Amino acid sequence: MVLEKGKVSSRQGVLLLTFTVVVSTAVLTVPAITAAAAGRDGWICTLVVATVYGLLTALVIIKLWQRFPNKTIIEYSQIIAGPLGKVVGAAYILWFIHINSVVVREFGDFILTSFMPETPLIAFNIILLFLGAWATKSGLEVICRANEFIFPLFTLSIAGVFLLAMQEADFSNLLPVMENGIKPILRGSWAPMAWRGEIIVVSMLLPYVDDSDNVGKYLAYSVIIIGIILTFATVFTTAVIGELTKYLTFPFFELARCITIGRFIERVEALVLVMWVAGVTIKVATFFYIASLGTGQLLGLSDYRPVVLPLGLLLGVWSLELFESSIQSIQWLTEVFSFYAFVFELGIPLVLLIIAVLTKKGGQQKSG
Amino acid sequence: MGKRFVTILIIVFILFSFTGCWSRREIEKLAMATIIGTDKVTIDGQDKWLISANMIKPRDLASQGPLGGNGSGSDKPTVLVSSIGATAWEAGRNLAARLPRREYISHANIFVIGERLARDGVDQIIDVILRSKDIRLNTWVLVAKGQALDILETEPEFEELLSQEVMGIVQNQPVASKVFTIDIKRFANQLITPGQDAVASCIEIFERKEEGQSQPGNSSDKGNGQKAVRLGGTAVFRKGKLAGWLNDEETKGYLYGIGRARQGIISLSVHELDKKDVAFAMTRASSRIVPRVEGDEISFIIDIKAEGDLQQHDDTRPIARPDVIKAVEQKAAHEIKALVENALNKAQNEFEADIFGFGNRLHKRYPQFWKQIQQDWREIYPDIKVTVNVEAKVRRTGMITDTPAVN
Repeated sequence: MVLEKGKVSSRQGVLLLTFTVVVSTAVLTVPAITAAAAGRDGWICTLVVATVYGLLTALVIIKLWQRFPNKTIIEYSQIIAGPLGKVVGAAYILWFIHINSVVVREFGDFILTSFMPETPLIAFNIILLFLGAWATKSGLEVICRANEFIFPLFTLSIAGVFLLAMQEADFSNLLPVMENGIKPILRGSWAPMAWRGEIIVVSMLLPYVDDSDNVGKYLAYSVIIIGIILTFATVFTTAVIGELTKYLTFPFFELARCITIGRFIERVEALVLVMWVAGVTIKVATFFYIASLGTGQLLGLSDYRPVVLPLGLLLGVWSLELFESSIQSIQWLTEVFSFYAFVFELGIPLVLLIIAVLTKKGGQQKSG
Repeated sequence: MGKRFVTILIIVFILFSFTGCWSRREIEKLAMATIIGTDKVTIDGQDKWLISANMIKPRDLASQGPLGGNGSGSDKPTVLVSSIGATAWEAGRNLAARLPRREYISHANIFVIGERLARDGVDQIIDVILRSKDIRLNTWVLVAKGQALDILETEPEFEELLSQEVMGIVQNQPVASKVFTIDIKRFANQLITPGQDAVASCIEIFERKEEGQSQPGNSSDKGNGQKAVRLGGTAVFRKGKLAGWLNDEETKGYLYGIGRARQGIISLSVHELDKKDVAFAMTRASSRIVPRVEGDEISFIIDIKAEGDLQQHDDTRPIARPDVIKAVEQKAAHEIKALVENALNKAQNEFEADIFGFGNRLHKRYPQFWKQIQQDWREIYPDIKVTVNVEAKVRRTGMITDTPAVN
């Protein structure tokens, strides 16, 4: 039973989609979290530690996929672990929904904090979820194509902020490097690692990619490019804003607000908003889609579309009731999210892979 | 049919939702602040915030445009409003009692901190500024000599609005290199960086006086008590509290020391000791502060390179010769060195404030050593040895070579 009949290329479905999924929220939130833990060394967290972790996650995903090329993680966990696999599948769906509602909440909180403090949160959440539901109903191809359209817009906005902020940058703010040894860097790495691990979404999409040769390569590229972009974001915020970075809620946004060139290029923070709205829409749609698809597969439905509306309601309520304040959400992202994410990004897939290897389940393709 | 109905429903819904947003601020419902002042005052024995702002009068702008030269005479384009509250924002919102429009501070590009507040400590005002979503990190910070409210009361002389006047003065400063201008981002960074004390530009009122009376900053404008603002000197902070002021000359030395001097005139005595007979006009200058650690001995070297042209020569003796130019260069170097040392002396001995950021440089260069001494830095700082090396170059002599001799 195939719930998704569409096919996407590996460039669309792997390289571009994972990029948008990870970077859209990471660029705004991660510099603050790494700066709080690792200070001016935050860039090492995103460049080195998180990339290594991301590549490891990618390797596990690819190995599992090579054993079960036509199955999603929801399906092959049932083959590997039997009835327990159903529980794993259900846990994944719950995780997708939970992460998605956090993303929706982050989106609303950011706009409320920085642009429209009087607007009720529900207004933004509903609009975003409405778009997400619409995209989910339209299927994977539509999400990927929309992302292909948004991707240049998204990347150019980020690159534009970097370029324009260049003249404000004072790179001596990055000195001294690794003043307090490696420990703060490792502590600051949890968040970027968890974000990079969100590439796990492809484990739900790989069966629908039509050119399977490039998948591994593109997934690795994606991890590395995300690393470079996030490193730039961290380096520039530290270079421009300096010591103050660790006190800011949205350092990258403040970076955009600092830009003034000759008194006529000013107030370019709208660029960040464009990027944020476009990117988050794709991210929410992707998580919404994989949660719906997974539910369909887990329950053995013939179509995943009927579950979109109930999931949307669940997401809406959850995103509103998840946190009482932005303090809670930041604390959750800093202290809980990482460990919670590791279980699903690397932990469970690794265990599944080990069981599959030991019990010799799945195809033995040797291609890499 | 049903699909068509749903489509029309969606279109209608979108039409309604696109007409505006919740948190919209229509321009005709706003009172735009152009310059904001904050003070601390004591009322009935309690410290209160006094927030003042120059708000643009909308009527004038609508009829003439903000920069229209032919103003309607006595009618002022801005209104000075101020109010008092227990916290800064309470004071700000108390303005609502007399403002027919919502106050809007996003366009205020100058923030004046009153002297009393600065002496109490600027940490409290920094929080107010940084937490607000409407105040940008690149807003200029000025510290008032006296009350910020008085500064805001002053009439602009050149421009239509006081904020434009102050903004213009801020941006005009590199030509003289006598004022240290700083925005909120750098100011806050100075406050929180270990081994660095903060400085900010000083804004003061100067009064046009009868001839013969002394005025601040070598100004000699005549008049009958009219007030205007001037930027001059630097407010020096120690542990976030205003410790004192550097005057114009000391500020110049400070700017050379930290490499923020751009242009400016240095007057020299070349031929005779008691007469300043050469004006050396700087075109560019740079500086490097290098920390040295030998054992437990900390010292710093400030390397300054200055380059400029001959602007004035007040003597008929030949000057356009390599050997005389060499002498001029030496004198210029000597003069700059004296300026920097003077500022250093003030900072180290009078204020004990590390405004050059020596500690910060030490931290960057020798992080491990810094850790050992960080706690004691304030005790060590006044006694550290700083060597100033200056290299000055005269590149050109202007439109003439030697001074024409008068018969």
